[in-house]
Amino acid sequence: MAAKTSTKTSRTGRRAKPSAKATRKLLAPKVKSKIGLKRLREAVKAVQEAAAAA
Amino acid sequence: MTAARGKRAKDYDRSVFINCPFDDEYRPLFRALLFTIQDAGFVARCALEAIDAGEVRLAKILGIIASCKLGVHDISRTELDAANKLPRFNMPFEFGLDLGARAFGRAHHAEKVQLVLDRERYRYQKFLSDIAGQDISAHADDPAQVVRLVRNWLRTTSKNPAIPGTAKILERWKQFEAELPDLCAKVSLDAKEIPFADLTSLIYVWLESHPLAG
Repeated sequence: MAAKTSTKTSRTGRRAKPSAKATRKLLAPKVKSKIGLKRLREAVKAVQEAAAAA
Repeated sequence: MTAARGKRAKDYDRSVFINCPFDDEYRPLFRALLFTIQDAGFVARCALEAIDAGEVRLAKILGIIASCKLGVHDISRTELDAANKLPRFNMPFEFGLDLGARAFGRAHHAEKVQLVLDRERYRYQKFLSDIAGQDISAHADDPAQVVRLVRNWLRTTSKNPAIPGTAKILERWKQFEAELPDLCAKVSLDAKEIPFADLTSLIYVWLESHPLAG
């Protein structure tokens, strides 16, 4: 019989800490921007680079 | 259409229902409120999602209230409109819906926590005396006060020591505001009228690229 899956770690009995990726996903806005996160990330990066160069 | 529907969502504890005015005058306070919530590690939800999605507004609002443990209610615009001499009741109404969900909703809705904001601390006594006993926080129409009040409330409510201090959030919010016109220009947005979905996404990606040190 297959072992029952659990979110608890077997050694400590404590609940496993969610990964950084999982936490980031939880914090994502509920309504998606039509612009798209990729384009927004590029804009943030460009402004950041321009500020650093100035 | 019932606020009591649904199971406890994964992000229920991190979700904040924002019930506030959406007029031009309130815009700086709204942006400060959104930024603080997201920088503190929470998810901002509000009725503007309904407008963006083109759904039936009240049904959408009830759905959002049901999926948020936390609620920020700004009743500072409960006043007579200069043009039609009638008050705007949306904010006290949505506050009432949230209180109702806490009282009559599912088991997890009993854990709901609300922050009530106004311009002055005791002004509500003249138009909403039923909420006497609630702690009303006054922001005096100052975005920096909004940052402080909301940050401190989130810190106390969540007991999360990782939430940045007020000074840090203010510093980051000012930097974001300074970069916002250039960011909007890059993606063809009008900085004065950024749709809710675009603004929360913009703050989300900005925070990704500006992680807190340490």
